[in-house]
Amino acid sequence: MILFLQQTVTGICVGLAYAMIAMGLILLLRAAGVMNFAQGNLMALGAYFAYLFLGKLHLNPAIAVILAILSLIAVGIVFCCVCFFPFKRTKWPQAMLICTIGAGTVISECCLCFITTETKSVDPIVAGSLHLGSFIIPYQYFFIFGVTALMMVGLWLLFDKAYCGRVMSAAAQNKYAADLLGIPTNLTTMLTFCIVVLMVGTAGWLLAPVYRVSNSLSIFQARAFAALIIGGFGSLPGAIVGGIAVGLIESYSTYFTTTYKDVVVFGALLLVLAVRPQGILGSKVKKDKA
Amino acid sequence: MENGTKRSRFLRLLLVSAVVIAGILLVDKFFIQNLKNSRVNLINVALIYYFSVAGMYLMLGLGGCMSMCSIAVMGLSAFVCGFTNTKLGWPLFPAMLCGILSSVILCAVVGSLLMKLDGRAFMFGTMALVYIGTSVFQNFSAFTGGPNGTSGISKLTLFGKTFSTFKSWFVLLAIACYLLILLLHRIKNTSFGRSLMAARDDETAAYSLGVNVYRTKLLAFIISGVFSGIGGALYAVHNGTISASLFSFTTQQSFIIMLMLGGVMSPVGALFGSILVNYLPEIARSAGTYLNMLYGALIVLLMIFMPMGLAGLLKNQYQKLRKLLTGKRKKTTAKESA
Repeated sequence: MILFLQQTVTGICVGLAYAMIAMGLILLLRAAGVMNFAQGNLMALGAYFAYLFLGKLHLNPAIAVILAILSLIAVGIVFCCVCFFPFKRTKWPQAMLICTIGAGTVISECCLCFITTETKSVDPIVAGSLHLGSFIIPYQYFFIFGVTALMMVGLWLLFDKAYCGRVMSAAAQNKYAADLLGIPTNLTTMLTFCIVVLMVGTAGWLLAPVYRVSNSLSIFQARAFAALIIGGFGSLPGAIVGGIAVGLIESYSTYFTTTYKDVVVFGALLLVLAVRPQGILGSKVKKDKA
Repeated sequence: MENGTKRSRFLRLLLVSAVVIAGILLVDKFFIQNLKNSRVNLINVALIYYFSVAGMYLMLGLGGCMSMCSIAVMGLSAFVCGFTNTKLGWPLFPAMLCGILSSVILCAVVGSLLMKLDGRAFMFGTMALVYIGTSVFQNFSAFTGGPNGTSGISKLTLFGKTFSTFKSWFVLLAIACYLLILLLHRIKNTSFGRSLMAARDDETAAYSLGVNVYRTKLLAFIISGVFSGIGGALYAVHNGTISASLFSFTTQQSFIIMLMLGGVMSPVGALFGSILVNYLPEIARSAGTYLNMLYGALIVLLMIFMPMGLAGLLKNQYQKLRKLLTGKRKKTTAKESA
């Protein structure tokens, strides 16, 4: 029973991280039509920043957070300029996809060359863990729950309540019409890129103490793709449900196998595609956009 | 009349083949035989990868679907070939055939399951297959040898000649690649190839003209599986050992890059793309730790400035030159230049 609870908590916690990455993927897909293959590397970049500012430079945490936010926004702007603007008029969407693969390689190599080549650990925000009998939750998990929940609420507020978010989703839905209405679509796209990089980088920063800092963090991207399909392609709630589902599947799979985790997770993905291709919550993206 | 054009086409084919084979032999004599063994290995492996890349050309360039699973299919074929040859003791040719057959079966099953879905779901489904494949190849010791891989696959003997060194393989592989390019050109001009391209450009229009889109794409997927299967079996025999770490998503990504670098619409370009991508680490060794960064940046620049790859670039330059010389513009179809 205790083990089950432990697995559930871990699963949800990791699942929320998957959900963040998957949500970022959907936002980019809607706003720019990019299927971003550098998402995992961006997440690893967040973790590397955590190590760089806290572990290597020993900055005051508040300054470190501000610096990290600023540098992630800068990365977002550069990423947008490299992977979106040159391809605005392309008729071959795969070119953009390849470009993100290349950009991902550059990001991960920059991390290796300029920050560290070793696997490093980062101190959690609050050390220690909560003990309830033999049921243990590290305090870091609370931060992961809290911050991801906060970001999800923030996104919901932004896209459903705020004027700025409505403009952004209008630009994402129909660029041509939005241009005609005087919406600065270039600016909104760039803003979306910044929000996504910030979101994914934060997820990386939060997971750094749990998983340690290394480039292998980028494998989270594959699980995020699985989360997209399982939850229902194209909707933000679908991404959250899918992320948590993938996290739980992965975590419960340790009951019977540890070596074939990938097989279980991606087998579940194939199963969902075979039985319910629209995912748990149903797909929302128009089919002709592939 | 009809007979005459047929004959002239046949003669041209014969002439081109003679030139290509002479070229291959010359390259072999003056270039390959003087290279280091490890470099020859890189070139040979690039030629083997080309089989998978050719399958992806068929799927992406002609069919417009992004298939991500060539590496998994290739791995399955290689490991089945290795397993039947080393553990069951089969002779080499039945083992290779068995490997190719297994990859065809995998493609038929997965394709019939996923081809009904839209392009993105297909992409993710095939990607899932790669991750499953990687995990199985690395952990299923009884079949693949686990982390140690399979080794001791017997050498190929063809026409009374044993292919024991990497250098002796080059001519065989190069000629196989040439045949593959001929086959791809042929496929493009059959009714199957035309229906595939019609399905890529507009699925609904293709339907209304009587093209069975599902069956056409499934057939293309199976053919690309055959190519990958041949590649896998050749890889197993060529290297003699197979390690599971090769068959990962990273290699799949480099396949896509090979295809895009050479030009997604050009089989010949894709061949040069695969050789270039595989051989680049040797050329740019002096870059040291920055090599991969350079590689990534190169891909980004390439996609920005020449999205149709080397072949597209050459074609554009050729057309510009022609315009300059004749003073008038030859009309190009929008689809080809897009």
